[in-house]
This record gives sequence, structure tokens and C-alpha cells, in this order.
Amino acid sequence: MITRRNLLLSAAALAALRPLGAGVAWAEGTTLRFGPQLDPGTLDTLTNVYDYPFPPFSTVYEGLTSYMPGSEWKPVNRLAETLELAADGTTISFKLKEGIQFHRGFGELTAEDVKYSFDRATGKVKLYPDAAEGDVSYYGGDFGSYKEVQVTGKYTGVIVFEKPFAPMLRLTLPYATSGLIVSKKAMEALGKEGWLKAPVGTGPYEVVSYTPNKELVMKRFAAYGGAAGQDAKSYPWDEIKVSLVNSSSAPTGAALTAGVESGDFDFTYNISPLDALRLQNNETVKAYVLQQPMSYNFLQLNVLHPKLANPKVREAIRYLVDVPALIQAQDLDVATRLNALIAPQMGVGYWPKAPVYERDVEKAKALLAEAGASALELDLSTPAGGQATAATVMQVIQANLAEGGIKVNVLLTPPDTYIKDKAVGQLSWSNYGGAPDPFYQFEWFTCDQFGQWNWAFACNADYDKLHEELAAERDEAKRTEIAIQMQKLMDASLGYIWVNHQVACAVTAANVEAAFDPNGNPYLQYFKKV
Amino acid sequence: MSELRQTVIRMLARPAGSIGFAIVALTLLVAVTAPLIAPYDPAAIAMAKRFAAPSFDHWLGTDHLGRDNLSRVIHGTRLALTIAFPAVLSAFAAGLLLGLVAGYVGGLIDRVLTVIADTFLSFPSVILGLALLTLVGQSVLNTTLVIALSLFPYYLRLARGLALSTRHQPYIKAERSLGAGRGRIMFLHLLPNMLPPLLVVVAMDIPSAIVIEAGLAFLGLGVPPPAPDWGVLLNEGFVNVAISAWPLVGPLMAIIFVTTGFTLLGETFRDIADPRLAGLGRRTGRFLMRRAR
Repeated sequence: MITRRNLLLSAAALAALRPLGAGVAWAEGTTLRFGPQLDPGTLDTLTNVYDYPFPPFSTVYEGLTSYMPGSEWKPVNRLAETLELAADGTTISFKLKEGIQFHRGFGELTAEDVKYSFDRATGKVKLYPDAAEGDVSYYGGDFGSYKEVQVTGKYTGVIVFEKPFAPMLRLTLPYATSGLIVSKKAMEALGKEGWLKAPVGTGPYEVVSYTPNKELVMKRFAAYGGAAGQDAKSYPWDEIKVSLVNSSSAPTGAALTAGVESGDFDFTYNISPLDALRLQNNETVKAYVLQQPMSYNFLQLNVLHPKLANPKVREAIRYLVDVPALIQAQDLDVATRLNALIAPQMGVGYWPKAPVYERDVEKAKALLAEAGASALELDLSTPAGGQATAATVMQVIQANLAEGGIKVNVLLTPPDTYIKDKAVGQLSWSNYGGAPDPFYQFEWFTCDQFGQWNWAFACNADYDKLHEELAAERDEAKRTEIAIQMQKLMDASLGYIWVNHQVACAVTAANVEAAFDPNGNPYLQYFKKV
Repeated sequence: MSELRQTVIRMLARPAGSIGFAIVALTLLVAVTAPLIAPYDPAAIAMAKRFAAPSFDHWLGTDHLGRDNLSRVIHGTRLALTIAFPAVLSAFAAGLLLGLVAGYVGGLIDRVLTVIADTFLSFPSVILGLALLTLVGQSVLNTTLVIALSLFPYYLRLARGLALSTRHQPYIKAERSLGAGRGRIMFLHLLPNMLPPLLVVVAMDIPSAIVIEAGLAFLGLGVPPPAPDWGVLLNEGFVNVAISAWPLVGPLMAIIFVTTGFTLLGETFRDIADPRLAGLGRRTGRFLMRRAR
């Protein structure tokens, strides 16, 4: 693993170096074979289902800044040579590194490409020159009150906002796929079909072929201009192959690790914790257990559903759920319990005094009696394609609530619309991926997220107002204050039972050393051969 | 009554019959007395005792939620039979009735019913089950109905074939010339003669129904949790097989044991009921269908 010291050294090297230009001599040629992963749906930065720097988004594209492998959320410059936030917070001036090339001869990166990429993300220009009606960016929200990019020179520009948007520097530019820069020239030349087959970025690897639900092949970009500077010299892989599957055919358990154990793959991500534990004694492989403090598992209670409308019933459920047992049911003895939405690792927004609700069956029974809720029967479900342990966790919740006299029907295959319908959904076991800014974490629980991600259907005007304030506020102490208030409102709504931060487990062949960002996402180009 | 007793005695006289009978009797006993003989509540979770190896307390160890494997297999027996028996019997009843009508009445009714049966037959049972359960949702009743739906066309085609071949027998013609109505001929004369071969198929289809149900549950579309369905136990055991193989042992042995028992019993019954068919392989129904044409 990359240590913090290495990380600091490489960051220092990055800051000192000019772009390397083409023709760098590479180490011996090899292929990194990445075992079965869920297909991102598309390689487009704005319509993929990942929305975070997972391969190929972290290998094919680059942004103005990025995070580095390790455990610290400290963005470093990538395509940007300098980046400066104005004192009033409404503009960010940037200067690009010169001489950075796009893949496949689509020319040099300029400020026009930055403008095009951000306009495209926010729907100010069409997603593709020949976009169909449904082709829209999923992630315009990552740009807050973005107004425009004023191009002031070939390599310089100013990102302008209507009002200050603090998450831009922590979230959109270094982390979200929506902040990645695409080639305007390539997009115009290729059109939708050509683009989706092999999109064009400036990253150290370019797409060779993409067969949905089957395979993604990337090769080293020979003319890599070196936004990653000196780092790129040490990338040992000539080719990266990612095996892709769809969620219904995704292997689980030992079937997922078998490829690495047999030598067919060099790396597999999202293996079960039990397998990671088992493989720790296997000398031919290396197992990794990675904390994902930004991602979280929790239970949502639909506060609008007649069966759950009485707060006492929801409170009773909160006392019935055995949170440590739910964590154990995910085989995660290493996971941290979550008491509110924001993790301490976020660095901003953490609520240290968040209440910890211990299990109390008698209290729950009393609350149910006060609410006059007898013979209560509730449905519990989770969206398809969720975590492998979802069925197990839901059975523990079922057993927990049964002790309070609530019968829970576990729906393993609910229709897609089930959870998102406020008149239908009841209890939802939820696993959300997060990002390193509290604004992003809170975004899914606003009133306008009904039917999208707010499955508790708790709508609070104060919360929405605070969310807007959080977007505009740049002072971290004040942001933390706002975030704590928002978490208090969530707690009072009784719509959420927090369980744990996620943990990702991975395995590599013994001669490969993997590298991950602070939320446990793999950075393939930083993988090393040992 | 004496005929039944005689059949039973003849079955028990054969080694396969007596073994099958013993297994089926034991299975039924376990199913009926499940709550009494299971050492633990099959849904009782004990996180501290996950993946325990067999011990005096837990003869077959515990699963990934610390539940007693043996208790889950025992309760699973009851569940398997609760689904298999009604499914096969309702498929049998519906198939027999519709096949009898189709075969004897003929004409448009025959053509319509045959097309319906052929439509269902064109889907493999598990695929049909998966599609239907996705549509109607998971429950014991729905699983039973889905299995019944996938089996009834066999009975319909079989009964229709038997009715077709019997309707031209001299004794039926004689009955008709005496002025007997359709209902009387169908239910009083045709039906009793069709029962033995159909009952053979019923006995042979019980294990099929158990396996279809376990297959659906294994694929995540069976009875919802926490029901200790054998297919679910297999699925959960399979996912964690590298950690502990014990959760797999119980359901695996149970399915092999019970399907073997019912198959042995069914085959012995077939040999006795229709000596002409002795020694033929499974799917007697298909053979009879071909014969009937």
C-alpha cells in the first residue's frame, strides 16, 4: 500500500514538475487483469452509475484536480497548474498545464475543453451533438449554482457561480466523474455512438474496446502529457483489462475470488469480508480490508406511510433494531458504527455528540402500546443489485422487530418502483455511496429527492434551507455547525436508523500491490508489481 | 380397501419399495412433528455462534446467522412437503379434469385446451416459475400455484391421451348405446380406468416438485425469509462454502434422501400398477403420452 510518506513525496514531486511530454520510456510491458466488476452502464462521465473515480473514470479521464491514493482527503493539481478561489467565493480562476494531449490525436487540452465539459455537465450544451431526447446529464447538481466558464486565454479561464459553491473544490473537481474533462473536438467529431464506444480523455490509459457487460480494455496512452507528472513514469501496466458483468449475473462469495486465486485475474474488488478474512492465510494472494468512511448503510423508514406515520412507531423501531448485530451480519467486525450521517474522516461536518441508540425491547414495546399499534405488519426491501449481504441483514431486522411484536415481510425482489413510491415503500435497507463533501452526503434527503433517493420521505424546509447554506459557506467551522444542525433534524425526523460505514474488501495476486483512495476506491494506475 | 392393502403389501415385498416407503414415512413423520423434534427455533438468530461446527448442542452446526442447521432442515422438510403435495395434487386434479374433458368431448374444447397445455409445456419449469413469481411476488401460496401450473399440462396431456384411447373401447360404446350421458361416462367409467397410471405419475412428481421449489428458492425466488427453505439453505450455504461447509450438508442430504425415497416408492408403485411399464425410466407420463397418440 502507498504510505502517507510516499503520498506526500509524490504530491511534492507533482507540484515541482512541469509536464513530461510524450515519449517517456516505460518499464516492462504487462497487463493488469481486473476481475468481474459491475458494468458502469456507460463510459460517459455524466451518465454512468458510479459517479466516483472508479476505473475507467480514474484511468481514462482527468480533472483539474484529484485525490491521491492514501488516507487523506487532500486534492492535488492534475490538469490545472494553478487553481484559485476568489475571496467572495463566486469564481475559481484556473490555469491549465500546457502541452497535455487528448487520446487518439484529438489535440491539445485548452480552456475551451474545460468550458465545454462543465457546460455539458450542467446541461447548458447538449450531452452529444446528436443527443436524443433522453440524453441528459445525471450530475448537474454537482455544480451548484454554476453559471459559466469565462475563457480568458488558451490555457486560462474563470469558473463563475451565481453564488458561492464550496463543494466544487472538495467534491466536483477532484472526485465526481462530472468534473472530469472531455475533448470538445472529439465529441463533435465522434457523435454519441462513437463517443460511447471509446470516449476521449487525457488520462494515462485510453480505451481500446468496451463491450458492455463483458470487457473493457485500456492501453497505455503513448502520448500521455503527464498531468500526473513524475508519477506516471512508474505506472507499470501497458494494458488494463476489466472484466464486466451486469448486476444479475455478478458472481458472489468464493466465485468472485476464484479468478484471483487461480491466477486468471490480478485483482478483484468488492469481495466479501469473510473471503478477505479467509484469504489472509493464503500466501499466493493479498487481501485488503478498506474502510469506506464516506459510504454508509442505514435503514430508511417512510414517514409518510400510514403504518409508520406515528413517530412513536418509528421510535419503537429504532429501539428494536440491534445495530451491532446488523454490522456483524455483514461480516464486518472491522466496520465502524454510524451514529449520524457524516463520518469523522470527512474532516468537516462531523457530529461527535450524535446520540447512540442502544437496543431496548421493553421501551419499544411500551412505545408501540402508546401508539396503539398492535399486530403491525411491515414490508422491508432493498433495491435490486444491492450488497451481497442485504438478505442476511434484512433477516436480522426481521428477527429484531419480531421481538417487539412487529411482523416484517422481507421482499427480496421488489419491483424497481417499489421503494421510490411514497405510498408504497415502508422500510428500506439502504447502501449509499458517498463523497468527500457534506453537501453531497446531505443532498439525497432534501424534499426534491422524493421518488429519487429520499426513501424516508422526510421533507423539512429548514433542512433544505440549511443545505443551501452549506453549499455557499466556505468556512469549515461554520460548515460543521450547519451540518450538525442538519443531522439533528434527520435524527428528529425518525426516518433514518444509521448502521455503519461501508467496508470494501479486495484481493490481488501476491506480486501486485494495490492502491486506493481514502474511500477505498482502487486507483489502477498506481498499482505496483512487486 | 383390500385392494389397497394388497398393493401396499406387494410394494413392501420389494426392497426398493420398502426402502422408499420407509424414507417417505420418516419424511412425513419429520414434517408433521417438526416443531416437536427440532431442537431450536429455526429463525432464532445468535450472532455469537455463527458458523459453528457440529457439536452436541448443534448436531449439524450453525449457519451465517448462528441459526441451528438441523432445526432449519427439519422445518424445511415441512415446508417442502407443504408446497410439493398441494402443488402436485392440484396439478393432478386440474390436469385430470381438463384432460378428460378434452379427450372425451374433443372438438374446439380439445383444441383450445391442448394449445394452452402446449404453451405451458414449451417453457422449462424453472424458467416458467421464475417469470411467474417475478410477476406475482413471493409467497408459499404463489410458489405452490406456480409449480402446479408448470406440472398440470403433463397431467392434461396424459389424461387426454388416456381418455382418447378409452372412449372407443366396446364397453364405453355399449354404455353410450344404453343412453348414458357424457358426465356419467366420463366420471363413472373413464375416470376409474385412468387413475392408476396417473397416480404413478403423481408419486413420481412429488420429488420433481420439491426440486423445482428448491431450485426457485436457490435462485432467490422461492418462499420469502425467514422460511428455512432447502433451496434458500443451499444458496446461503453456497455463498459461504469457503468459510463453513456445514450449512450445506443438511439441505443437500435432505433433498437427496427425500427425492430418492419418493422416486423409489413411485417406481415400485408403477411396476405394480402397470407391469407393462416395469423397468422404464422416469417421466412415465411422456411415454404414456406418446403411447396414447
